[in-house]
Amino acid sequence: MLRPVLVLLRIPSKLLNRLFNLCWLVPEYLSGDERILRAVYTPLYFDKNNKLKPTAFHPSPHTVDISVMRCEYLGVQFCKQKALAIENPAARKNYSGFAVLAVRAVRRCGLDVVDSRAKPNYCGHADIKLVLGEAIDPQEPLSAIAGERLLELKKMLVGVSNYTPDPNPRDKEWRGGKLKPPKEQKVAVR
Amino acid sequence: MNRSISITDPLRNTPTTSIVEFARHHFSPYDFFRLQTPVPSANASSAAVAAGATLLQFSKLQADWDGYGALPLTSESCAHAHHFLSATPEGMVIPEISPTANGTITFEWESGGGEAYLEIGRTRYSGHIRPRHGRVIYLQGQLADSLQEKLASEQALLVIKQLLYASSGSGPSTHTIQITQPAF
Repeated sequence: MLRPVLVLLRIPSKLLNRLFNLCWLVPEYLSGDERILRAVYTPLYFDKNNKLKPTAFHPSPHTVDISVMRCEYLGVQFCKQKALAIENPAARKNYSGFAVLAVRAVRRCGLDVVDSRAKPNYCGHADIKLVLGEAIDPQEPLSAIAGERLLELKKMLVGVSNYTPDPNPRDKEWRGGKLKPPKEQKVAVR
Repeated sequence: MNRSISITDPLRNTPTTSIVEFARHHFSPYDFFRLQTPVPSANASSAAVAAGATLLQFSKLQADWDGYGALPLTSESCAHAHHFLSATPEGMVIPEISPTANGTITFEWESGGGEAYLEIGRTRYSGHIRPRHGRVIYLQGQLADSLQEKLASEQALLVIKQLLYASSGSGPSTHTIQITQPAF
C-alpha cells in the first residue's frame, strides 16, 4: 500500500531535479527499499568463467568507501552516463552493465550505506562504508587478516548484487530491462 | 634426511607469521634448503606469458585509471608481481591477476582444494589461503630486497601449491613444508 505511494512521490522529485537540480529534494537517508547501482566494467571485473569478481567492489583509494549511485533519484539514464564517463579501455575497463543492490540487503551484511553528495561527488552519489579497523597505506596491501576481511566483504557484496548486463553498452541510452536487486536471502555475517 | 616445519604451529607462531621470517628464525642454513627454481611446462609457460602481458598492461595504468581516483601501480609492485609469476611452480595454474584502486596487484587461485589470495604492494605482500579443510593460513612479509622477494615468492607459492593443488583430496589441518637436507 505504502510502496506505490512512495514510488509516486519520487516521480516529481526526479522531474524537478532534472529541471532545476534541486538536490534538497533528495533525502539524505537511504531507505531500505532503495536500489543502488555499481557500474561494472569488462574484462577487469570478470574472472575467466565470466563471473563478477570481488574486485568490482574494491573501495576507492585512501578510503574504505565503495561508490554507488542512487538509482531511484538519478534514474538509470544518468547512471549510465556517469558509468560511461569513467570507463577506460586502456585499463581494460569497458562499461558492460550494472550490479544492482538493495540497500536493505547491504545493511543486512553489517555494512552501512550513506549519502555522499558533497563535492567532488554529486547529488545522488552514495557510499557503502566498510569497517576494516586498519588504515590503508597507499600502494601497499592491508595486513593479512584485514585483507581477508576486505575480500570477504567484497564477496558478500557480490553475493547480494544482481549483475545486469547492458544490451547496448555503446548506446548512450539504457535500453535494458528494469534493474532489479536479487531476491533477499540470508547472508552470513562473519 | 627429511625435516618438516609447521607454519601453523600455534605455540610458536603468531597468527600471521611471515613464511620468510619463520624459515629464517627456525633454520639458520636456510639458503641451503631453498627450493630450486621450477621449470614451467609449455602450457604453463604460454599462460605465464599471457599473464606477464597482462601485468605489463597494468604497469602502464595512469593515476585515476578507474575514474574514482585510483593510484597507479608502482614499478616495484609490478616487478614483485613478475617475480611471483615467474616463480610459479609446475603443476600450479596461473592466478587471476587484478590491479586494485590502491595501486596494488592481487593474485587469486581457486581449486578443489580451496582458495588463495595474495596482494602485492611496493614493499610488502600479504594474503591468505583458505583450504577446503582446515584453518585459514595467513601470509605476509616484506619485499624490500631481492632476497626477501625470492624467498617470499618461492615459499608462499609452494604452500599454496601444496594446499590447493596437492593430489590428495583431504588436506591436513596443519601444513608442513618438506625440506630435504642436501648431502655434503
